[in-house]
Amino acid sequence: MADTNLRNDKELPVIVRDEVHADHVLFIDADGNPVTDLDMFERFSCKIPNLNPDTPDRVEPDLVNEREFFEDDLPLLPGGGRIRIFGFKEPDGEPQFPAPTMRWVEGKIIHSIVHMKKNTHTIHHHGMDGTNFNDGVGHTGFEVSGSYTHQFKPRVAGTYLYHCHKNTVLHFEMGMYGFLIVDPPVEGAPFRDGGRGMVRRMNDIVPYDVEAMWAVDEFDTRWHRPINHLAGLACPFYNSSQVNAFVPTGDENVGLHDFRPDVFLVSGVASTGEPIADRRVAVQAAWGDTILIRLLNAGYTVQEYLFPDLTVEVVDVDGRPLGHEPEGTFSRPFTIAAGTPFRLTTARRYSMLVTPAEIGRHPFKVRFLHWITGREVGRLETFIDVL
Amino acid sequence: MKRREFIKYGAYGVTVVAFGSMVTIPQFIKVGAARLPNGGTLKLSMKEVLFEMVDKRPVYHWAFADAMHGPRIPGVMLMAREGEMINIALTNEMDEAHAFAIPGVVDSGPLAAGESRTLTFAAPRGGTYLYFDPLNAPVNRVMGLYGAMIVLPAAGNTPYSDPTPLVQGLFDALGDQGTMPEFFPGDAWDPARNWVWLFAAVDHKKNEMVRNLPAGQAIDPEVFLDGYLPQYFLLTGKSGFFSSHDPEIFPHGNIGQPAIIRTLNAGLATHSPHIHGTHLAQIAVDGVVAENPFSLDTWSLPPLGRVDLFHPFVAPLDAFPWPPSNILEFPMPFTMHCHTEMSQTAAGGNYPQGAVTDWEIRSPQVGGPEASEEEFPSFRGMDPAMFKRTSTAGRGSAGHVAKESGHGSH
Repeated sequence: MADTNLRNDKELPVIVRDEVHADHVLFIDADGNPVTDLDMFERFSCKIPNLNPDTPDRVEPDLVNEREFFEDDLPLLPGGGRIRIFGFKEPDGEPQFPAPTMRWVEGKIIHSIVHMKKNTHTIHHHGMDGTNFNDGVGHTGFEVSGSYTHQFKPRVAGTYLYHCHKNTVLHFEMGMYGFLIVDPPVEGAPFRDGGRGMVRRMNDIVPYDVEAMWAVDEFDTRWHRPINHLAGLACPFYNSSQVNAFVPTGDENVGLHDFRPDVFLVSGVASTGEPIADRRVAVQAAWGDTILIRLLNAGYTVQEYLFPDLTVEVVDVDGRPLGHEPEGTFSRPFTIAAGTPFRLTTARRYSMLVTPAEIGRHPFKVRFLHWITGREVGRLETFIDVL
Repeated sequence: MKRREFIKYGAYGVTVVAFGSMVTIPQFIKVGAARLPNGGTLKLSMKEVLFEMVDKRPVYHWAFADAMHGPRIPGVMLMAREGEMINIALTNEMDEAHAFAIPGVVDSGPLAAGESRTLTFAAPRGGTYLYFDPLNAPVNRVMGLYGAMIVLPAAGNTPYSDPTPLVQGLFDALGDQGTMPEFFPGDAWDPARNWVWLFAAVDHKKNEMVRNLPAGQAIDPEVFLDGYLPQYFLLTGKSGFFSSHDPEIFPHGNIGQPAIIRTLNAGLATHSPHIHGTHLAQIAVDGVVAENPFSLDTWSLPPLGRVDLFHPFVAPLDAFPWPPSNILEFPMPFTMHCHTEMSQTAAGGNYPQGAVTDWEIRSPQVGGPEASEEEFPSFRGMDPAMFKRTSTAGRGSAGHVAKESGHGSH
């Protein structure tokens, strides 16, 4: 165009990115080899060690759980249609989504073992504050190609999750997550999902009669077409001699920045538009029962929740019981009044106690809000029936 | 706090100007902070730039440029003490109206193309503030005209002028061996121990649309927002490998060296930042000191959101044994990333080159001074295939200066 007033005719200053130097030696490693900027960039981005190391400071465990990877088409869509899922299952178990709950006990030595038959994955025990070696993150540690035993001693009961931390943007959405519950150190723990149990409330341990475990999620079904595990991984140097090349940035990019959910679920049960009555989700309680609701945003939207006629008490945020000493000394349980919407973003958890005063059906409603536009992109509903 | 010599500055990333009495606090936050004694004036202009993304794509942006550091995104970080005067001489070097505002504190009002104006205002109450151009909202902010201001209170041992009882109690317990020695065994909070995580996102196609308008013509915000889909995600001006290896962005310290992490969001995405290896106490949200500063591992950061977090730097609660017997596991890094994982991409993929950084337990020794490179020589003694990573000393990338040429602009 001839219009010389267009901005792009100007010469502009450039704020430059740091360089990745192939020849800048940062340090000499234990074998005497130089480690450069480029080595470090690749170590962060794509050339992540695939290892099966011994567990540092390994001791005999009190509790052990094992998980292995699966890929399968599961009948999770509304109406029963199948969708491709990556997930974790028990070695002798059936594929399921979400992954089977890990149920640990406060103060016990835990071994959580991951097995991989092909490809590499990791397990990140989200909210477990362990050492880096047991954290399950490739770019600050390693990915597992065979098996690895994570060792923890969970300090305090609460609601956590676990998920794969390789190419997380894809693998978390594909289904590689499940609840991780730490029960208090009382008789009967670890408890059965959904049944009676005990939970920390401040410095007390109190009983509940029914447990709801609501992992609220969405699928962008476009992402679940059979897809390469590595789609979107930054391995810019494998196919290029150009130091600063990245994977395609044009129309052919894999589009993992563009999430358009079209299926809305709670704990693997998709909404058809009607209130979800499936017993894996909807709660049935007797009058006078205390219900513990473990709520997880397992999706990529901002989720807005509403109990129209129940006031709940939040006793645990992200696995840290409120008011529990010493780590929770400067916090308190808080209530969410009936009819007050509240929001959680991805991977946040609340544990909530409620003892409904009224017999009848108490709805629980979710609005799914787009993470950029804030617009509602979906909604669902389930309920607590008090008989 | 002991600051080492390795800290260098790239052409982008964190720059700081300390005002008033802040200049007398040795090494407050940043070794390289520019200092403006009482009465000094910061010269700040708005100008057009090209800003290289993590894949080196130059993207048209608007930037605040200060006389000492040149154009920066985010703009220079302002440091001030409550009640002291801040002088900023603004010049709009662009073709349309621009402004500088801190909501509730100061607003320059529109400056026409070429216009200059000096702002004088008292530093507000202790806390974390976002400054930005509020005109044609949200376009001018999202185009790059944003930065952070940190204000320390006039008195007290917390970051706030009016701490709530529980926040005051938390800070009183730090370094007080009589209160919670088993949980807070180290130091009181050193006001120098602050890090800033300023989130932003970039849709280069929208920026290009703005660039292609005739000079002086503002874009309709509805046009800008229609189909807005960011492809780059920034943490304090950097992404991926670069934000993860900049010691001005990744917090570090020994056990018992608590720190404040001030998180802000200048972009249009709602983020859900998640920290590994520790929980953080949420001590203020949007400038309001928390009545209930509970701990969390993941928090919500909507557009224009501001969340201050207290990092206890305690031994990882669920680790066994602690410390690990192999001292070569130190310094021990953990990641921090937004869990709304689309923000971990660049140009639609390239995981994990988005809004991510690390934090690092320098050593298991309790309290300061921070362990030196000589005492804890990173992973150099370990199986290099296991931990082929840099020492902290090597993490700062070599500095570069902004090129005042037309590189990439044609």
